[in-house]
Amino acid sequence: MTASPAPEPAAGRRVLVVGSYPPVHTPGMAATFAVVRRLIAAGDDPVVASPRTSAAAYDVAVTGVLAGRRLRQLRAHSGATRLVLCAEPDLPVPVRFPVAGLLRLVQARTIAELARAAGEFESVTLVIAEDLKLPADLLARLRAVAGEVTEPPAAATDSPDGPWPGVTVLGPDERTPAEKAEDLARKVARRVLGPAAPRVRQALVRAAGTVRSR
Amino acid sequence: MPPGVTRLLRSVPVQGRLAVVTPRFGDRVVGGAEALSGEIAVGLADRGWEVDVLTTCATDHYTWANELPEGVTRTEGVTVRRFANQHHHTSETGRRAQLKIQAEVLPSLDEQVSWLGWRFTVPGLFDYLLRHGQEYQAVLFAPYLFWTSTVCLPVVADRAISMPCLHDEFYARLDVVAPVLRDPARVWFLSEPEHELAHRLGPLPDAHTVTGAGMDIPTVYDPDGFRRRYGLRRPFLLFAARREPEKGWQLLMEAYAAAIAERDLDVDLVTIGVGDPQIPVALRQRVLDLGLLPPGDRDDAMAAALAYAQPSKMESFSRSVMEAWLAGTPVLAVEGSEVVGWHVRRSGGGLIFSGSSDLGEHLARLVADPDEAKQLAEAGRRYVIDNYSWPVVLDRMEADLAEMAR
Repeated sequence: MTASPAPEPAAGRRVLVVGSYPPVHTPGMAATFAVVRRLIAAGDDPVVASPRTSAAAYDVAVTGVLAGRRLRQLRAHSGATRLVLCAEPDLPVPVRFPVAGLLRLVQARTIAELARAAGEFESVTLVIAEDLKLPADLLARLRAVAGEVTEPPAAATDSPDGPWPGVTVLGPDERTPAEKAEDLARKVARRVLGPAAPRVRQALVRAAGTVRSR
Repeated sequence: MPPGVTRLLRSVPVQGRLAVVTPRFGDRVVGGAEALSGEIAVGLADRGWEVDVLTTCATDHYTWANELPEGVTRTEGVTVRRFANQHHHTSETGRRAQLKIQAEVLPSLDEQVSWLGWRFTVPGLFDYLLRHGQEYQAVLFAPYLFWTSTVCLPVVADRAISMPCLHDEFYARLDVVAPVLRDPARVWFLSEPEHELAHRLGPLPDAHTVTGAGMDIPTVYDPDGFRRRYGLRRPFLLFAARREPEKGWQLLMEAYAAAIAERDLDVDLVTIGVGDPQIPVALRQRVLDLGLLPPGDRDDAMAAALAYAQPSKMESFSRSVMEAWLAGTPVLAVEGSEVVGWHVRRSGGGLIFSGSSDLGEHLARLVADPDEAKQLAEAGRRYVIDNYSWPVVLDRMEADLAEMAR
C-alpha cells in the first residue's frame, strides 16, 4: 500500500471512493472520476483508493480475497464513514485466477469479505461501470453488499478521455525479479514448514546476522 | 498579431486569477522551462493578475525528493502552493518502459500508464485542481513531459493553457503525452519550429499561438572583471548548460578537441553549469569548468566570451543563446537544431557548425575579424530585444488571455 498521510478532512463528510483513477483510462476510471466530481459539487470530501499508481491518495488494490481487509485498513486510515465502490472487471472481484477451477471460490470469498468490511461503513454505494463478467448469483451477492446500486453518472461519458485500448485495471506485474523470487520462497516455506515458517525465518535471519558480524 | 490590436486588447481590463503549474519552482531550480514558468508567473503578477504557482516540494530533477515544505507561501507577488511528491521508483514496469523509451521502442499503452508515475506522482496537486481549478480564469501547464502536466491538465482542460516546451525527442511521441497537446483550451509555443513539430506529432486545439519566451535585459556587464576573477587570459568559447549528453556537451568537447588539434587555435573552451563535465586529462589545460555561477557572473561570462556554443539539438527556445546575444556575443550553433538554426537565420546573429572543421574555421574567423564578430552579436541583440523582451512577450500572452476570456 502506498499512501500519503491521510488527507486533511475538508468541511464535508469524508467518503472513500474505490475505483480506477487517472491516468488509468478504463470505463471504471470514467465512473470514479464522475463520482468524485459529483461528491465535491455536493460539498462532500471524497478520498480515492485505486489499484494502480495514479492520482488517487491511496494506491491499494481492493480486490481478491484480501479486499475486505484492505477496505477496513482504508476506512481506519482515511476516517471515511461512507463508501462508493466503482466496479469493473477485476475490481473489486477478480475475473481471472491462476488456477481456473478456483476462480469461483475466490470470487465468492472476495464478495463475502467485502460484505463484512462494507458493514462497517454508514452507507455503501455500488457503481457498476460496465459488465462485471460475474455469474448471475455472484453478481446478485455483490449487489447486496451495497445499500444503493447505480449505473455510472451521466457525466462519466464526459470524462477527460475515453478508455484507452489495452490499459488494464490492475496493471502489469510491478514486482521486481528479486521480489518475485522472495514471494515464491515464502510460499514454498509456508507449504513445507506450515505454522513454523515465521519462526524458522527469524532463526535464519538471526543466524545470517551472526555470520555477517563475524 | 499587429501591435495596434495588441494595444487595443491590452486596454481591455482582463486581469483575473491565474494558476501556473510547474514541477519545480524556486531559486535553487535549474531548468529552462521551470525558470520560464516562474518568470511568467511573476511577470503577470506585476501586471495585476492574481497568480498562484502550483508546484511540488522538489528542487532536484534527478531525485525529485521533497526538499521544501508543503504548504502556501508568498514570494515576488505570487502565491506558491507546494504539494508533496509520492515516489514509485521501485516500479519494475516503469523501469522497463523507461529502458524501452531510451532505446526508442514504444512501450505498450499499459506500460506507458505505469511509466507516467514512475518518477513521481503528486496526488495533492491533482486533488487541488479538481476542487479549485474552476476558480482560475486560466491554468498554465509547463513543460509537457511531467506528471504535473500529463495527468493534471485534463482535470481543467476547458481552461488549460499548455506551454509544452517540446523537443523533437522520442518522449514526445508517447501516446500518454498526446492529451497535453490535444486537450487544452490553448497552446503556447516558444518558437515556430516547435509549433511545426507539434503539428507533426498530432492534433492541436484551434487556439494556439507562438508567444516566445521573455528575457530580462541586463543593464551592466563586466567582462574584464570576469576574466580577472576567474584567471582567464585567452579568448574562450563558452558553453552554459547542464553538462549532459542530451545537451550536446560531449559533442562540443569532441568537436573542440579536434578543432584545436587541426588548427593552432589560441581559444579555450569554458563551461559553466551543473553536472559532471567529465573533461579528459589531455584537455584539462584547455577546457575549464567553472561550475554553477551566480546570475551576475553568468551574464559577465557571456559578455567575456569570444563566442557562445549551442551544441544541443533538443531545444524548444534556447534561453542561453538569447543571453549570449544580449551580452553582445555571437553564437555558434550546431547544425540540425531546428530551433537554434531558426533563431540564427532570422537574426543573422551567428554561424552554424556541423563538425570540428567548421567549428575551428568559425573560431579562427572570429579571432581574426573582431568587426564581424561584433556585427553578428549586434544583430543577435537587436533580435532579442525586438522579439523576446518581457514586455513584448507578456503583451502576446495577455492578448491571448483576453481572447480566451471572450
